[in-house]
Amino acid sequence: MLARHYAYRIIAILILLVFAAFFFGPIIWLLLAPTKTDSQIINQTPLAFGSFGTFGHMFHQLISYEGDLVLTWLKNSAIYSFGGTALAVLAAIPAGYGLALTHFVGRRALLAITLVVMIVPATALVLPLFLEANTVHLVGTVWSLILPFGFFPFGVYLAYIYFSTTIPKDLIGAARIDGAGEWGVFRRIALPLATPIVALVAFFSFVANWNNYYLPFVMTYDNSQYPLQVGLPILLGSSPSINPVAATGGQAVIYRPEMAMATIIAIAPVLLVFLFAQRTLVAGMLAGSTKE
Amino acid sequence: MKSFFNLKSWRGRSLRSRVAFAAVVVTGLALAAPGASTATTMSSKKPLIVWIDTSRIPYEQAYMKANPGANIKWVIYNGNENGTGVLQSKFALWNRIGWPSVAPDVMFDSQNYDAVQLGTAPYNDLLSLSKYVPASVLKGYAGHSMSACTTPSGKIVCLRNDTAADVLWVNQGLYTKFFGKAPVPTTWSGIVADGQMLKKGHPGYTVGDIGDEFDDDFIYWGNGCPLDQVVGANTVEIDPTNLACTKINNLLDNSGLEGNAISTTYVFAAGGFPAAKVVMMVGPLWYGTAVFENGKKAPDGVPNGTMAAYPPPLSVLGKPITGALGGGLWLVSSHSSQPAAAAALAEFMSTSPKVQAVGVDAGLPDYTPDQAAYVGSFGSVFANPVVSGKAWETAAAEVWNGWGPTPWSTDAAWASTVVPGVTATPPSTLGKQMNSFALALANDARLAGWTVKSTSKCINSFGGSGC
Amino acid sequence: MTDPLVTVAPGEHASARRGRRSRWRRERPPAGGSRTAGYFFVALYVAMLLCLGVAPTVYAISLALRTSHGLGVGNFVDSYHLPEFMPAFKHVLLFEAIWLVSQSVLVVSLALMVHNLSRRVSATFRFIFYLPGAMAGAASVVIWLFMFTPTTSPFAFIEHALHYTLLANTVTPANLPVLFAIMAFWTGAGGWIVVMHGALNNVPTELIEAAEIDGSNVFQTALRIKLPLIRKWVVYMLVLSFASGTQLFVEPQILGIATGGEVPPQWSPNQLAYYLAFQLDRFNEAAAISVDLLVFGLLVAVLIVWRGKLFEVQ
Repeated sequence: MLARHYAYRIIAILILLVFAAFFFGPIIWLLLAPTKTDSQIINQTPLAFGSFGTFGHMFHQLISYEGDLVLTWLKNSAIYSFGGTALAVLAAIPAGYGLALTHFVGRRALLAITLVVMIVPATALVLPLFLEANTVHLVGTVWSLILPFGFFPFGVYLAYIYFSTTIPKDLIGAARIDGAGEWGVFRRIALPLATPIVALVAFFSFVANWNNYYLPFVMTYDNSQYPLQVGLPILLGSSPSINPVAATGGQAVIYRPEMAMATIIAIAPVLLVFLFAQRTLVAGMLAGSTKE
Repeated sequence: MKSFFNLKSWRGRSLRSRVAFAAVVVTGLALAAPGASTATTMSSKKPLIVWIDTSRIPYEQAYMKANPGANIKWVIYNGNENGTGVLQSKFALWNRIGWPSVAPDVMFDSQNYDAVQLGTAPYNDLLSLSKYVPASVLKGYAGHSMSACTTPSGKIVCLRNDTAADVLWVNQGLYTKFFGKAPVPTTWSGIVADGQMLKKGHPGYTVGDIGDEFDDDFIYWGNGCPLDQVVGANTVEIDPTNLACTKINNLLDNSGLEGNAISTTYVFAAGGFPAAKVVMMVGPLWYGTAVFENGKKAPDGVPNGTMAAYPPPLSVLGKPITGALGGGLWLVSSHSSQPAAAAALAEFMSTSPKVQAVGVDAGLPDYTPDQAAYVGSFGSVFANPVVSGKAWETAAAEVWNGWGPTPWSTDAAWASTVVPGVTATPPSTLGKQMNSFALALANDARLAGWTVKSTSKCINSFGGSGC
Repeated sequence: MTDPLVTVAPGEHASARRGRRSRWRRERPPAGGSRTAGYFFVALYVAMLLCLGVAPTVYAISLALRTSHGLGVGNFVDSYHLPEFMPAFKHVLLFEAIWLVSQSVLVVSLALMVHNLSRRVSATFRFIFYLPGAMAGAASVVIWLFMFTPTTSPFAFIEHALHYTLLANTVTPANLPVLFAIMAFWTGAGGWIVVMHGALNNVPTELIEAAEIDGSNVFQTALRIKLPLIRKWVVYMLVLSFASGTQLFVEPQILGIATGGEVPPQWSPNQLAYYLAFQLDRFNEAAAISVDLLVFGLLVAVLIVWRGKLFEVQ
């Protein structure tokens, strides 16, 4: 009986290792790819390590593509993502608080609407948003992205849950009796306790904004406005490794290692955030959950 | 405009004023936000805005050298390549919200089927150039190539930049080694015959391929098979049962060479066939430098002086026609505030030897008076430069005008129907994939609102039910 | 998929609530307080909800209903009759079927396996599974492009076993639903494994112990005790994933660019809508397809909010 128990354990670990290889393998490949030259990538085994020198060379090649275009894209990603996250936090935290801890007519309806909108996938609204932005002449400006990014019903819902569960009701009641205005209650009681939820909402918002493709794809109309996610397929299309028809014109050419390097740059910020938040995300906040 | 901001329906006056304030702030910031480009010239005259791709940067330099101090803003974009539809989407947007000052006056477009789409309804965004460009110049382009710039109503809406006509590329050294002094084949059957000799005596070498994303431009366009033939306004003929189509399919499928001396893998792409083993193949003239990579330090390239270009083979029905893959266009926007200057710039770029003589990489100028100087600059890049130059010029004049321009890419339809079939294990044949290819083309045509003419029951049925 | 992971409530916090059980059934707000102050707190959010949620939806519907003969359903009918319409929906539904079935089986199995391990090991595995979630969007497609090309991929042994030597072989149209399912699973499974793990944490240990004393083995415990208690999370995962999967766009779009059109530009409904709008300048039909997809998502959302007992609004 005990032996069988251990046998199951070992089988489970083996299966988990196989899946770990599936999930992690592509990432390792990606990190190793820029250390090799294009022909090395094709001819050597996929997970071979090339050299640090090659890595640096690929980075330089990529950055010099069309005069810093990749850095412009990185800057754009940062502006859109951080801008959107700031707006999302600014709107979601007070809204969650209001839904959780104040009374007003329509509170329940607003909550229900939020839940519904939260589940409708964002991409369903991209074309309609484009048409609307079109009408108010915002297409091609940063606001066509920051405003939709700032609309984050999921963040409102998280904040609502957070404030309902962590602010002691009696504390609020006492503060109100003491004559603190609603704003005072919010500022003195809720805000100081809000750091974890601000971080959580900011995290989800930032990741969603940074990885968003369809909305920026539709809203921007110039090379220099693209965020990294939209720029990546542009690089792909102009890489002779992927598309033999791509002409080169004597400029810095993007082959496979440069493509991999571009992908690394595109995911690096979120990857770093994941690494730093790993403790909280995996072990802490998300893992805790409902208790009936 | 819908009044989405109907504040009366919202509760609370304070709420209304808050939203109004927010709207004002947002609008103010939107107006102050930087637009697509940061051109703020102090000169009173607005610069001409020209969109080019990275390959035309040498053209920009040549232009500025020939016209120093010209008031031009050059913007790099992706050349509308590969069906990314950048111009289509921008034009569609601007047609709705009004053309901004950052919109281009002149554009280089690498897709040779775009001009007619953008110059006719619902776009109608291209300048009619016959008013600005002399008729003698318009007649100076190779063969029937200007049909790509002529709308059904006869308007000229673009100028050709280069021609990407298909020639027969031959590895001179290998050919002499295997075939001695025998003349290079002038027909598709001749190519197949050579391939059969290779298969018997020297396996591992190829005389062509059917596994690439754009072989339809060589195999069907070059043989006059009507799969993309414009026969009227918004009407296309797609006829896979035409004799030209069936003849070339049979020739290749029955040659016994597919998967052998006719490669069914990608040539030149990862896992495909190495360039050094290509004895001959039909391909566009820019293959010589961009794909065979003469002399460049590429893993699969061949050294300078290896490849020579020969005239393309006659079609299977004996006609001196050939296909093409590419060949860019110069477009002028009909919304330009300086149409004469814009048209003049486009004409300069398209016809001036100062621009068109730039480098072997750029492709043969479509404007025939510029061709001699261009092929004279081959130097030692190709074997037999005199023959290669003549072959280029001949091919340019032979491009069949029965293929497009239509607002969809035949290559995409080929890539999604024939390529998976012929590259699979076991491989399918061209004949077996023909109907699904033609059907995909018919679907693209109907999606774009065109009428499809065909004698094929399969194509005329809805959704391919008759196939 | 670019949707944020919708997840469970945050767990206990070090601040005041230790020992108090959080629950879905929210309590009413504390008594007292101004009745109108709440409006100020939600004002910015409501403004955005109206401008960025309700307004574009209304505009899209109005555009979809605008035909050359005035208001009507002409655009819906016309887009339905396009030869690419039904194939696009069929593609996506096939992709969903493959993805959701395999994801639910694998996520639950992996979560169960991970849950039984020691804390450190379990956390490490969960982190590895979760990591690809950072790469949703275009980056993951580029990565998988290399994974699907036999000459560069560490998974080449699988591709060679299937006689694939080129990217064109792997990305053959018949394989597409499976390929997209693999990509969707790769980016999304980790987050759901973490959620399931959290749900499993809440299965009372007494129940498990009782079952084991009764002689139940690992599988039986999993099937009879644990699974029913996390069932609602599985349903939640299925429904959310289904809703987001219908919006498939970036994966087929980028694979199409990389393969010169082997993945047609109208493979998924969202791609078809985009193509109609931006390539053919037919915004009304594009709006009709967008509304089709929106209604789909809304129906699903309303279904689980009202019929499911997952959210209770107090």
